[in-house]
Amino acid sequence: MHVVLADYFPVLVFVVIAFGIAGAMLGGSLLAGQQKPYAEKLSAYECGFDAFDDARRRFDVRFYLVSILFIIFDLEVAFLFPWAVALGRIGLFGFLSMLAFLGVLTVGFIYEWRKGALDWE
Amino acid sequence: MGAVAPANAILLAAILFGLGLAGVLIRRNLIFMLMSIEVMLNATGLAFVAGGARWGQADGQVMFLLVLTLAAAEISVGLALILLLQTRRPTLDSDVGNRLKG
Amino acid sequence: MITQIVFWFFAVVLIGSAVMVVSARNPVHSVLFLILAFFNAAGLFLIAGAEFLAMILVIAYVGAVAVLFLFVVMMLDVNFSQLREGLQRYFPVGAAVGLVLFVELALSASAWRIAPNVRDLPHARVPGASSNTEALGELIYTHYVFLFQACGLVLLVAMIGAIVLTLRDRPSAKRQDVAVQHARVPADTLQMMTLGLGESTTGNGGFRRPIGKSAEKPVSRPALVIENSPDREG
Repeated sequence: MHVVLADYFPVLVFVVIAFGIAGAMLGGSLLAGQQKPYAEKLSAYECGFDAFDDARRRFDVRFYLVSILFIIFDLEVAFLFPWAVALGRIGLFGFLSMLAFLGVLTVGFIYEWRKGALDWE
Repeated sequence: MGAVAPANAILLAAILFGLGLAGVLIRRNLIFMLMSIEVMLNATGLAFVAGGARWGQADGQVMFLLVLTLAAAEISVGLALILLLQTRRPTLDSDVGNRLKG
Repeated sequence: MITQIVFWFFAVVLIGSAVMVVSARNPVHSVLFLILAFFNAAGLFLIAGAEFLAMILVIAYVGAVAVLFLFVVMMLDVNFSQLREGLQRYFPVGAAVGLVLFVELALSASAWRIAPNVRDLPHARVPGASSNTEALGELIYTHYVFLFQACGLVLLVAMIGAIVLTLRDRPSAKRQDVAVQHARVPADTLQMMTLGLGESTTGNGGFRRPIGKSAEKPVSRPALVIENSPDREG
């Protein structure tokens, strides 16, 4: 395993340029534009509801359930990537072990489907 | 770990683990305790990966994938328990929730 | 040399953000510092050659776990005045235990010698893997197959546990039940009636009324079909 840091030099360049462009846009508009602020202009625009409200309102627990299920299937997909890359070298056994893994998670998927965890009104 | 001595990486993992453990013991809010556990899990993963990199092998990374899975499972169930606890008790103080009978 | 500098940079930021995670007053700040810590750990993984894990750390941890934390922190109304109440009480014990554990780990790490013949031990060698992801893939699914299956079972348990804990059965949910839809016959929902001249449906119970067994089924709402509508005359 070689030192991969040099491979990521383009990423560093990308990040630096991105920060540079964002800073140039913000600073440029700050310098070049005419600033005539008044209260209405400075107020946050929200379509439909009040702009200034408590952010910590309680919302439905179903959002939380959806994000939990997202995490679990996210990790399942994370396990699929090395498998797909190395599939040619791990043979039938590796293929079948992934099928068993997917089978276990399919049991969970069927369970949540039957329980109605994926339903939304 | 490339040009970095593995002992340095292990020391870094030890510092992180100590910090996380102190956080679990000091903080009383359950959310903070869960986040400190995340820091500890991260420290163990770092030690695994550094140890694997010492030998130029991917075994340590396999262990980190296991740690990642455990962390995700722990977080999803733990946060669900916190949500349930919040509906029964007014506070998330871990000292208050020491009764099993709700 | 560059690697050393990058390592120490990531290490210092990682420790600093971990300190902030543990000690921040506001849980939202704590979550954001946790995200910073994850990013720095991903950088350290890159140095160690674990490219795939670095990306997975950013995707799975920052993209999902930290967002879930933010979700819950925003969902609960945190009482800020209570947050730091017991901090002084527990600080000595917690700091002492953490320090003792750190010293133990540091001692064992500094006294760490590698046995001279350890290279001869059987390793799970990956000859000729072209990339880090491929080397990982060759190990997980064959050499570590039991750990891999255990991961699947842990994920299954987490999924079922989360559903059991958070799913409320709400009868108002309008879900489609294909069997009920197919079992519907016109006699369940329609009633044919003949009305004489001048009689209104109101006198016969109105348009909508529960009939038969279809009354307990919310999906099939009884409707009345009238052959000659008296409304035109009345």
